[in-house]
Amino acid sequence: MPVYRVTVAGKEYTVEVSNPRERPVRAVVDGEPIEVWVEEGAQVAGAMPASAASPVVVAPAVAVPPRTASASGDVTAPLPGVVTVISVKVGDTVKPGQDLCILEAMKMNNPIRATVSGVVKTVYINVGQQVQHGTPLFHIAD
Amino acid sequence: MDQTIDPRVEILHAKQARAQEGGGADRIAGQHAKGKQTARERIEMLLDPGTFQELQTFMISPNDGENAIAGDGVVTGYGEIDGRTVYVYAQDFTVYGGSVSLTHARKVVRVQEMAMNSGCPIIGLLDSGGARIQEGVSSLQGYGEIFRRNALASGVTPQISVMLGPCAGGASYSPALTDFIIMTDKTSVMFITGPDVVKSVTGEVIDQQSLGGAMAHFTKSGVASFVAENEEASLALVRRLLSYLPANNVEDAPYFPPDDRPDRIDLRLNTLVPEDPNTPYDMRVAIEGVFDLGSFLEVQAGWAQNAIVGFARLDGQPVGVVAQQPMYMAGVIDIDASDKICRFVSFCDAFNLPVITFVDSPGFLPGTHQEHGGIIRHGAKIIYAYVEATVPKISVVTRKAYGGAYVVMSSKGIGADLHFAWPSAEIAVMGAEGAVNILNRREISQAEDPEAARAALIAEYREKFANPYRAADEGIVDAVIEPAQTRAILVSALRALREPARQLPSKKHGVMPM
Repeated sequence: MPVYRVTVAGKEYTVEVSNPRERPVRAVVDGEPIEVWVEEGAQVAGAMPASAASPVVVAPAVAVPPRTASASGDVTAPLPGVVTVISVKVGDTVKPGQDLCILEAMKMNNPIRATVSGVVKTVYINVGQQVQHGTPLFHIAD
Repeated sequence: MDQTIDPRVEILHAKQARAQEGGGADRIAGQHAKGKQTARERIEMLLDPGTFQELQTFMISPNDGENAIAGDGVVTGYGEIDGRTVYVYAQDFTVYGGSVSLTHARKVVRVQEMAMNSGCPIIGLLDSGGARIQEGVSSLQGYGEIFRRNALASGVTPQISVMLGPCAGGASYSPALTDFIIMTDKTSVMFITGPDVVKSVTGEVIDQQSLGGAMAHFTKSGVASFVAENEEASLALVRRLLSYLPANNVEDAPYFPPDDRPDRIDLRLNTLVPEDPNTPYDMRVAIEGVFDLGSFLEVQAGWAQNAIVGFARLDGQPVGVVAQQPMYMAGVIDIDASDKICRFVSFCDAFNLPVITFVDSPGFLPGTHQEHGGIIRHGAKIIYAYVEATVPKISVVTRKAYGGAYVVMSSKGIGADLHFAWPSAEIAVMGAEGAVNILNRREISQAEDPEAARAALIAEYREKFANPYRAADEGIVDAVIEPAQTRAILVSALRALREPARQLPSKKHGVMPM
């Protein structure tokens, strides 16, 4: 991934861009994945001042991490399986794309990831617990 | 020469200017205040500059008498996108809330029929409060006529619906019958029954956006093929989407000279699949590594993420891409993934796009939720769509390819033209654990240490069968390929399969399992 150092209003940011021609462009700014829609018609390739494209931050990288959170802030099991690892505890601050737990199912260690940023308010599960489709795993809130 | 304008031309200009105003300055200001553009502004953003020719500008609803507004709430016509003709209709929310009268519907039908007859894509820009209630049942007749053309045009020319405001009740079925729905975040909404009805019938309290907003349909229902952050982005997406599509079912998709070498080697792919079969990997990396750089446009990216579908270019040639995503739900096939894959393959076949499938298929998702939801009916659709597709079909097995879940995913048996496997492929009738439990039950139960015996037998089975070479021995796999070389191999495969002469048995139409 190409890495850029971009200075906006005196503050320097580290920006990794996987593919500038993709829409939306997926980028990681100081470790945080985001998606941006670049103003079409602007020169994308080549030497272009970063400000010229005036990227607009739309949302946390929705398409990158698996989307599991429901609107209520509960992260639910997308498939039946056994919890093998819990990576966060109550009070932890999480970011989109961060691993919350591993759900072993279909002979695969499936990472269950946060899709919103917030604080883990409740951990509903224990290691070794069998969960069903839709079982709440975590509650995440601001 | 006389510079004065003929009064008859002046009358035309005056009438045109009045029609341009739609519902009037106040209504236009109201539309802008909601962050929305008018129908004509949207068409201008969508089409190449200066190419729009409006039709039936002055048509009015006979019931409206003195209050009639020219155009009757929908702007229709044709124009160009990247120099190719498209037909467009744009509902005008400033005129009677964009409500559908019989006249409004007939204007839409007029461009639908012209698009179909001339083999050009049709794009609907939807922003309507619903039926023109004053017209009563005539309005319903109008909807029915639109739906009929939507269904008839399916597979003839691409149909794209852009949601830019409300679309409620039965009206939702017009976009639903089209090939792609682009929803605009926060301003568009689609539902069959709105929050008030939901509350009165079920007691459930939910707001419009949570019920039928862009993100709801993008992540939960699969209704939205794409979501864009604003109107401009929605319309830009139409232009990008059309760059992969032919104008109709007899033309080829447009070729763009690629700025990527056909023989580019991506060494990342050689180590993409982890040696531990329980560790997932991101199938997007394979897709990015194989197709022309930056050319992948994912469809329904937020829904049924265990399957990936989308358009890409391979050495400039547009193709459909289907893949399973081990990062999400192990890449299993479930009901939603079946719907997603089946519909996409069927679209690609209708519009002459070769289908390239990346297979990592561990199985069907077990459980009552799936069985009682009809995974048998739904999974069958994948087979049906692949078999019915007469376009070139190429598949690449990257890792797991077990049992029935292997067969449905563009296997040689159901008609893949070329079937490749990476060295990491595990093509077998079932996984090692399951096979050993059946084949060696007695041996395991009689062993001194049954668990150790089971583990040894599983390792032995994996060694023997969890590879692509059994299938290669049988000629089922055409070639076991080095992952880094996949791009070059697919480019030449596509050339080798340019015109498959393949015909389905003569019939009125098949009956797809649903």
